Amino acid sequence: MQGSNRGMAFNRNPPTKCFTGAGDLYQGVKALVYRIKFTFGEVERRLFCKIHPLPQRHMEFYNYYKKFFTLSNDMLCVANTEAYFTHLNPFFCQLLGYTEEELISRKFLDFVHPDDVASTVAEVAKLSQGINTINFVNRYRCKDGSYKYLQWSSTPDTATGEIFAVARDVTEQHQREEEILLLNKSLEAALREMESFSYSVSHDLRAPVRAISGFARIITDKHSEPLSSEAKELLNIINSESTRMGKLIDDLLSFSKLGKKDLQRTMIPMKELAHEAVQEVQLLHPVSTDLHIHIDTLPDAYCDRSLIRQVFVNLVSNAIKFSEHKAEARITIGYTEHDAMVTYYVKDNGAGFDMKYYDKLFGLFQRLHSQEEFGGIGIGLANVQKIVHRLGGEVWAEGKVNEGATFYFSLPRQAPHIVHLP
Amino acid sequence: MTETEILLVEDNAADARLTAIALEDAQLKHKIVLVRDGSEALDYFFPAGEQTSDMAVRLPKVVFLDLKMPKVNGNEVLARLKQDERTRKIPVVMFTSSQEPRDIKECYALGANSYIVKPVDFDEFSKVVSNMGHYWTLDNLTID
Repeated sequence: MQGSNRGMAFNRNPPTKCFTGAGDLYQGVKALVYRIKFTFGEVERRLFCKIHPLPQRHMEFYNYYKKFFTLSNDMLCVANTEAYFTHLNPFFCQLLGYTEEELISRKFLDFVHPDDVASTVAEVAKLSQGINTINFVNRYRCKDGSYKYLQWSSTPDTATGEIFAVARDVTEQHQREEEILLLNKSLEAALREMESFSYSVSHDLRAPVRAISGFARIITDKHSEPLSSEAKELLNIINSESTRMGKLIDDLLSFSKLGKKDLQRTMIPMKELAHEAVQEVQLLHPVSTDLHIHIDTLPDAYCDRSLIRQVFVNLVSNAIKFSEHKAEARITIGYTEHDAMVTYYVKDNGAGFDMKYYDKLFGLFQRLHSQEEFGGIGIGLANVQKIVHRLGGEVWAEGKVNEGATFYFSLPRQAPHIVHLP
Repeated sequence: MTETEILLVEDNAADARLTAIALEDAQLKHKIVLVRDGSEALDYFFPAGEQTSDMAVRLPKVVFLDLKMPKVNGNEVLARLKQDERTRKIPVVMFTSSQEPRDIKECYALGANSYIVKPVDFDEFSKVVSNMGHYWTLDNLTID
């Protein structure tokens, strides 16, 4: 690059390409810097060395590109082998608040934040080996003592050792990133705390519930003879309610564990998995309804097998459960495709739900039907939502009372590609 | 002689009672000995002050061992039993409320013979206790 540029015939036509995006602008400025470099390399050396008077043509070039140099709203500079700035555009001085003389009179490392000196020295060393600097960030001290984050793109002139550099002020962007990082950390901590809390609470609640339900059961089985019929009835309520509480606790425990489980993501054959889930549900909860389940040829998705299996099991068992009162239940597991995502759905013609209560649908322990109508504790859809969110997808639903419901979830079609820029 | 015993190590009185009832219902021939924490369990095997390795120790048919207990907890008892030549061959079944993978992993690493989580539901609980009672006293073979 260097050599070819130095030997290249100099084109005095201004760049005619219309630069639109930031990338174009960057390329444009970069090209400009190459030319300025040439101008300085040739023109200024001759000027200062005074070997020959400058030909008129060179002087024109010099003035021509000096205009861009002066106008730029990026920081442009040239530094020499002794680590001093030799040229600075006005914006450079303006942003940091120094005069050109102040910046030129000291080694540039003097302005670099003490913590960034080592990385800056390493970057300069790379430049001296002819390696360009791309998006290197360090902090420069301003005249008022504050620091600004500068993002550098630099290129060396291997013959003279000079460094040509463009910098951008990325302080605000940097601060925002740090704020987001900090916010994320505190959110993660809160989430972890909540999960470990619900885990330990549910864990510690198991023993007393076991005792209550166990002893109530033992009384019912072995010692109920002397009891009145009302006492027996009340005992039965203790039995069923403590059993329900045990189920609640176990489900809460597994819900809190969902967030802790390590994801093992691969390409998963979704049709096969849906089949498995349907079989499992039918085996565990046989129903008397006339049941027709159709599964489309579902495309594969990138997800965690055991987790997404749980999603299917939850949605299918819901679909069956809420179709129980229908003479003929029809359940379809299908899909629609988008660019990078596949949306799967489980559709039934069962009890449905009122869209008015949609907000409650995926909430933990939220139920839209009475216990007498349909059993359950309201954790299935909360699980589904948590799993799908963890796998990078979305869940949503549509329903109409007595006409059925459709639950959708989206998943990435494949593993995200990591794009390597040249 | 003590091989006719089942040692139950359980600090929670309610759990101990439920387990004992479920074991009685299972109608095993073995006597159920209950100790209330890890240090009592160690006293059962190694009477106070007795640390020499040539003394005979009590050898129950199986130990049902709770994990979370005051003073000496279950995995300390487990480690001690599995380190001692005299007690190593006694089957130790961890019987606990904890489902944490960390606990399960650690117990197996220490040489637990089985790890069973106590169900909350009493029907399941008595079924599990009955199964494990039968399995470890009738089906499972040990070396004398």
